Amino acid sequence: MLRVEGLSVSYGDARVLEGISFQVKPGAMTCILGPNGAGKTTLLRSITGIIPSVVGKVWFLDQEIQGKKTHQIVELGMTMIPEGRRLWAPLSIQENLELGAYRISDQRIVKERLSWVYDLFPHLAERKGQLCGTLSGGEQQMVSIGRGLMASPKLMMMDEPSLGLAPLIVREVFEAIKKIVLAGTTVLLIEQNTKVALSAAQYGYVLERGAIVMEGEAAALQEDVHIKQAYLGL
Amino acid sequence: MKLGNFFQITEKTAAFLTFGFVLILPVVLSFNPYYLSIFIIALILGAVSLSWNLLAGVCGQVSFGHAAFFGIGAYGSSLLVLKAGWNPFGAMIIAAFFGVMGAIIIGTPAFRLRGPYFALSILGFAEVVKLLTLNLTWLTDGSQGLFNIPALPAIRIGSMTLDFFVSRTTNYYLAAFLMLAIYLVIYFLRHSNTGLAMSAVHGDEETAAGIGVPVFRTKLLTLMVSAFCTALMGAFYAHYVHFLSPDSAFDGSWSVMPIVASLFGGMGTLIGPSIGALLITGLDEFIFKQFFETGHKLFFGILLAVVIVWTPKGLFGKSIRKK
Repeated sequence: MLRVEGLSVSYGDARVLEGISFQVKPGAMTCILGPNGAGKTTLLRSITGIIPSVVGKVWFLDQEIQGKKTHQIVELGMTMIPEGRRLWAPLSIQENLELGAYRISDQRIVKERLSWVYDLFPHLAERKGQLCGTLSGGEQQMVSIGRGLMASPKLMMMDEPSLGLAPLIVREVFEAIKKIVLAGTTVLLIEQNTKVALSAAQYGYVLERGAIVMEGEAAALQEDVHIKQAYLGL
Repeated sequence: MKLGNFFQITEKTAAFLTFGFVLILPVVLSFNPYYLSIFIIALILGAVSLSWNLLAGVCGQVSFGHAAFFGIGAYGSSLLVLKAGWNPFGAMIIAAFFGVMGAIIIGTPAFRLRGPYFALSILGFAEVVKLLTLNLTWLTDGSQGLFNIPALPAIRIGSMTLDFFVSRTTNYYLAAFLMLAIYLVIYFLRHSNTGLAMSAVHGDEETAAGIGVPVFRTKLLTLMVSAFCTALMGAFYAHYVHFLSPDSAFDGSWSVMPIVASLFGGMGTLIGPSIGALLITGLDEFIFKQFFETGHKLFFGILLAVVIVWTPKGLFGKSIRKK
């Protein structure tokens, strides 16, 4: 579904990503793990065209998206759930969700998507009118994911959805993400929380200092000695 | 102790009240020509403030150089009438499109910048256009300015004649009508899908792009609409005062006063900036000028500082709700 080949990104003289290649298979969840500063967020931002000047090739649904504008890439069916939620704080939950369906002009589809998001997060349905600035971190994360879902994406890329959340909430969020995958949306997950990510994903890559150092089935990675030592503290 | 705690009205009600007030104001002033001339300028400022606020308050792009579009409209319309012999009404519309062209010329490079850098580049643009007007003497007569700019031609409706040359009242109501028209354009734009895109860009550009909003195009479109309305008011101004110089048409106060008015009236609202414009004009005329004949404009600075500290959303920012 998504294929990245030889992707390199620099901020000025500092090279952040060096020849990254990986792919995301349709209908499954792929995760990219790595510590702080490995270049995970930069990777996502360069795929979505927010960072424009990159070397390498990116294919999405057999179409080269390298060099396209962000809104054009989104149009193709890709959406990103940004790190730190980034909701429109002065707007209500419902308004934030509706904004997610900005490209969809058919109001019936918008309503359909809205009720699917509220089914997924019943918690949000109870407080549609509440302003997002007043929500807890977990609720904000749910709105952020819901907003991404509104556009009926084929591929959903999530940047650290577990960031700053209590373990119980993390579990709740990941249950929802699994349901999203089951419902047919492919997910690319970027995480620091290795344990949670590997238990939910099917395939994983490990990113360290701007390069992919390891890849494999999620179950195999979970058993790997290096991962155990470096990330799981076992 | 804030106004927002005392009363809450909707945007629509606020707009009805404002335009109702504008409608009866001449009667209150017993059609005194001096006061009318003061409030004609207030209405022009009000309309420019509404346009400025569409860009800044709704789309989040602060401009320090709206005088550019005002001056382009003023000079554009005057030159079409004086040198090409156009009808002033047609010239006003075309001059407003000159403003749009100006918006494209500066917006295309400047929207690659963000925040204060955009604001400053548009300030520079205003200065460049002013210098051009000053130095293209074959076209604009330079610093001498343009004299005898014709008034708008009289309109006859049945037995009634709307005369724009002699009557202040007619000019006042035309200014009020233009402000209303601009308000309606902004109101409906804000409540369209494009308006949604504007507020998304205002909130967070990256996330806006992430939901499929063409950020650059949205910003440029907003600037174009804002410039159109501002240039239209500039054109009206030219035909109303009959005289233009680069200093009067591109006066920095056409850039600054809309900001002051918008901060006063509340940038988060749509009608607020025009209330702000009327309010500061009224305060200036009836209070500051009475006590301090020279230097009364100094009080704007003090008042603005008070408003920003006391109620940063503007005097009515919390009183006027969106719906």
